[in-house]
Amino acid sequence: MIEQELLEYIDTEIAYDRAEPLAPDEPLLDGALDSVDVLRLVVFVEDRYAMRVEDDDLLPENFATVTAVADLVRRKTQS
Amino acid sequence: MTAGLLQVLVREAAERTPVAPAVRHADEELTYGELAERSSSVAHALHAAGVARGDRVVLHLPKSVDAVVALYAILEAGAAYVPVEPGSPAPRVADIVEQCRPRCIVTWSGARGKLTPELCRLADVSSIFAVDDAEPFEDLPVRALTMHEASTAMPVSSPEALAAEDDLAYVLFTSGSTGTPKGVMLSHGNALAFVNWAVDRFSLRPDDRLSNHAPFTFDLSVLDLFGAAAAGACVTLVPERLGMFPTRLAELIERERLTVWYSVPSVLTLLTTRGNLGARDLSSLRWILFAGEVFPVKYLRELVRAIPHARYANLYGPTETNVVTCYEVQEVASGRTEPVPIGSACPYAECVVVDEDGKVVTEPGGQGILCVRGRTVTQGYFGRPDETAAAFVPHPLTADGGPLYSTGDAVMLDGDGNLLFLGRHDHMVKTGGHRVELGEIETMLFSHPAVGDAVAVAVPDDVLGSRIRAFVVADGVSEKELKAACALRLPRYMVPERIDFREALPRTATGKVDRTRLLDESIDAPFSVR
Repeated sequence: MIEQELLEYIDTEIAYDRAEPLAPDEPLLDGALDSVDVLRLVVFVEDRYAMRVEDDDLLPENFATVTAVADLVRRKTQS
Repeated sequence: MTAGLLQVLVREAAERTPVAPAVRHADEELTYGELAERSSSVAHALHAAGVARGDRVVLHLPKSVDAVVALYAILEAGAAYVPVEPGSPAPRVADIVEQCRPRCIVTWSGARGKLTPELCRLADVSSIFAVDDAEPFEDLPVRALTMHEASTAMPVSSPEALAAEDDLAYVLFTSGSTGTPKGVMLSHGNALAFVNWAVDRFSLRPDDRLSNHAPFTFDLSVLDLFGAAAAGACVTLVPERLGMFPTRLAELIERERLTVWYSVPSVLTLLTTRGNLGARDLSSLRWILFAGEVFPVKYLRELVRAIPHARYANLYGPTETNVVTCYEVQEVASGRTEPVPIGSACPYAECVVVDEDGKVVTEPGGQGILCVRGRTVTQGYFGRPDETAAAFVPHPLTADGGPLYSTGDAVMLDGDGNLLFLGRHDHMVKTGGHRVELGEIETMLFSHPAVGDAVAVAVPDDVLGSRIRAFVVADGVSEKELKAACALRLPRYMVPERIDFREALPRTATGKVDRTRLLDESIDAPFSVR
């Protein structure tokens, strides 16, 4: 399940300083991730799901929550 | 009229062009008239709160037009602003507050919980102005109110506080190798020597629109904010989260019709590689300025190709000196692989290259450490006379005019009279333009009881300059826990992206940790592959 994998990745690699685990619909861009984190997440999904995040996919709405990232992955890998 | 003070730039612009836009951010805009009046009334409120000439006021809040009002108000009140990034963890905020002992803190409700009663007592803070909601601070032993409440009945004319150009204007905290950040003190005169030069060098004028991408904690913001004010131009604050999305940044440049862009190179690299620049009308850009780290030349070349009509300049200088050299990029030859020079000395700076024997380097090809004196050079580190003394070296040729600030940057003189940046001999590195002392990270790792040995290395990275990685000898602690421990005190960009556990760290023949070997191993095993 994509959401679960993303949550695990973010939990260990990015949101390591959080007391509570991240929820799928929790906002990522209001302090949870900085600009380098977003790029790391891009590299992770590109490697893990063998897809390319195009310039025009790299938008706040696609990285707003884990659910949004998972939706992006599904869109890009199904088409 | 008091000449030689930064806030006078706004007052003068307000007299010349009161309705011209001064600051823009998201959907807010302030004219020079509004900025002058609002910052003056907040300055009166700061005086009423006990702030006096020579005091410090901490500015701990996200970017907004209110943050700029507060910044000028602090200067109008005769005090120095001490910016602290909104994302800073509580202990780091406490470190800085304890060191600089501000009379007042201007903040926002997001700082809830970071400012504690103990801290306010210890640092002798008497009031807190919140730009949004003061309720989170009402239980603290201070006078807490909103900036609006504090200033609403105050006069809108300048309080004309007594001040001189040697007074501190701001204190910028940077990474310190011993484990706590150190505050670089900069005066109005320091800032203005640079700002006046920049206005002239880049022909800044009233119809310019400058970007402000850097946080206020970063001295790149000095050009954006005060350069704009000196020219009577407008500065557009780039919203923090936009920086994550290059196509949105490109859109902002187009929409705001920005004419002068100034940022670290890594942001420009992302714009170049992921900003889809071809789809945008960026014809408004006159100057693209960059500083803070080496711009990989292949991306600079691509950027020049994408935005050919703009002029480009590489600015150089640590926080302690602000910009002291400048190089205007003429063309980036297709075969060039080495970075463009950092250029030649700005007119207010004496740049001296001192070699290992303490001799001044004057011949092309000669190498040494770049040492600087001049009007932009800091008076030193706040409350740290020993570190201040250690940062300066005697002038090898003359004692007149005082000692030189030693940047620690190794440079080479080329045949055209320009300086080339070579690197550093110590453990200070740059990541995304941020200055990082590896020793500060190691101190944090060592402070964890489970850690027996630790070293941090900077792995070269195409976009960010370098990425931080650490190796530890530790039992009974996870990587996640160690990172979390680091994040308690360090800003995010200093927390190692990856921490590897070892039985023992490799040593050199002299018994030191073999950083070179660990670095080579890191380069062979990239971050994303486990």
